[in-house]
Amino acid sequence: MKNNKTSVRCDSVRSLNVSASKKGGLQQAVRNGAPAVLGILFVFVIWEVAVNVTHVSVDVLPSPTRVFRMLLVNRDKFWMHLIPTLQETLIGLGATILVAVFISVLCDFLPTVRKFVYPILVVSQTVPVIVIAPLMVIWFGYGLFPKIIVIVLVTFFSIAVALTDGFDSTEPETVNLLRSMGATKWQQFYYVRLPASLPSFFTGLRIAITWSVTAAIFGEYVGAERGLGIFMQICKNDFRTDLVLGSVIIISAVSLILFGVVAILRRLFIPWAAVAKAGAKK
Amino acid sequence: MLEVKQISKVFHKNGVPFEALRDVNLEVHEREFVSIIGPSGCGKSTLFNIIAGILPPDGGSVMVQGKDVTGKTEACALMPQKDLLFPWRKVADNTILALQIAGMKKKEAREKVEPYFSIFGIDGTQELYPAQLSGGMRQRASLLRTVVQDRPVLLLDEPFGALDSMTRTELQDWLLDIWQKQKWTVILVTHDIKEAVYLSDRVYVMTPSPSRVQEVISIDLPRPRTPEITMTTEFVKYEARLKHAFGKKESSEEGNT
Ligand SMILES: Nc1ncnc2c1ncn2[C@@H]1O[C@H](COP(=O)(O)OP(=O)(O)O)[C@@H](O)[C@H]1O
Ligand SMILES: [Mg+2]
Repeated sequence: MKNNKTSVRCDSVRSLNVSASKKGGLQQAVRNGAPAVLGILFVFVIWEVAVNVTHVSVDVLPSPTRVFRMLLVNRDKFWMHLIPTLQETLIGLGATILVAVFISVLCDFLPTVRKFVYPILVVSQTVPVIVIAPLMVIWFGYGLFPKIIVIVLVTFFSIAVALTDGFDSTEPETVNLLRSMGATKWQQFYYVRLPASLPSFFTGLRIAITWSVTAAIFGEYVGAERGLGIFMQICKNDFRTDLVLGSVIIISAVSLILFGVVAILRRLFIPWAAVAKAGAKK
Repeated sequence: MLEVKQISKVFHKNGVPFEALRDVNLEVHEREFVSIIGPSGCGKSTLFNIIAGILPPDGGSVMVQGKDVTGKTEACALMPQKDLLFPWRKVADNTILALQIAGMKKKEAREKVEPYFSIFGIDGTQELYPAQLSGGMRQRASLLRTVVQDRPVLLLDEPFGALDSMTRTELQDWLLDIWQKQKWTVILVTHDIKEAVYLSDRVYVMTPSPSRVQEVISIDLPRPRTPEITMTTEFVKYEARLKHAFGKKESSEEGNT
């Protein structure tokens, strides 16, 4: 039994390493983030200099300082148009997650359903959104609902596939083990297939986030009363390039923030992923 | 105590029948340690799955304590070759999985496994994640998860097969020690002849597929055993005898792994 002590000690050292690398994770995030921030700043500087040197018309390319000034001046207008876009994005994403979870779980439990649903899913992906979005306006008008449908159609696939892959990542030996413990189908799902699918689900969600913002904007572009998409179109028709670019900056910022929120949620929901990664490196 | 009678199993690989087990008989007494050795692919895991009640045999029956448990999972606890600890559960929560499946509350189950952690030499790992443990510690936790099910029979399927040889020796000594104290009824699948002699009361040698029991060898070495026993002449004789029995079919199974 004297061996045990040494191995326990060596394992607790391992765990120390892990918590150390967790702290390092924050530092590393800053270290990884710094070049990105610098890179963007660099682009803005070049842009500013280029506009000032070439005296290009403000209708074609306004300087970034002007774009930001206009953002500030028109902040109420931007805010008014941002709210519906955000609303659509979040409700659309929520709806996608609900529908995707429901259908993936159904397919997981009922292989026959899966055989019917999968081809439909794949075919649905070949239909371009550009075709769908105007149709939605014709069918459902200018409100929230058609945008939600566009977002669900665009993002559904990535989340459904992520979930299905996650469920299927369970090895047959694991299923055998659970069955030997007397686990029912539902228990196998709850104790293994579901938690096993979380990392893959968050990867899918990360992809879906950016797409859902884009889909919301596009849905508005085709027809809406308010929203950054329709705002951009109006500004474009008025040759207010500065406001169009301002919208672009806001949209990017929103995507980035949502991205960050997903990363935080991922940490909260799967704290073990960081540990597993650190363990695998050894 | 455990009686495996005339078990046969035929798989169908792409419509081609493949006879994995033919009339396998096996008997294990109360608190006995029995090993099964046989060439890889001969159907040892298949036999285990049948005994564990998760794979229906094509013929034969499994009786435990006089009760027919063929196709029922209640009698045996299975320890797979890979530890299969779930990365999202802390070590303690991994060990209580079967208890939770059986309907026990998490808190109660944690209290039940707690004393075992020091017995198993993994005290202090309860709140860690499996990824933070070494391979040897993970196997200990995996055995603990098997033992806490309180099933009459433990089925250990090559539990040390994937470990490096130092850790394997350490865990063999540990298993011998803990078994001699706890006296579970154990069937161990292994391809390590020394391991089989060292730990077992009896060793079943299986033939290549269609697999049958080729020979049953009683290891009449005194108990309690200690690591020193591996250096005695009797031990070496048993090893040689098993090697001979094992070699008989290994020569006919060249390269089939
Ligand atoms: N579900 C299955 N379907 C078809 N063939 C199988 C199945 N399970 C196992 N086999 C085959 O049965 C044989 C015995 O497998 P197994 O019991 O895992 O052997 P062992 O554990 O002795 O190495 C192998 O040839 C394997 O390919
Ligand atoms: Mg096997």
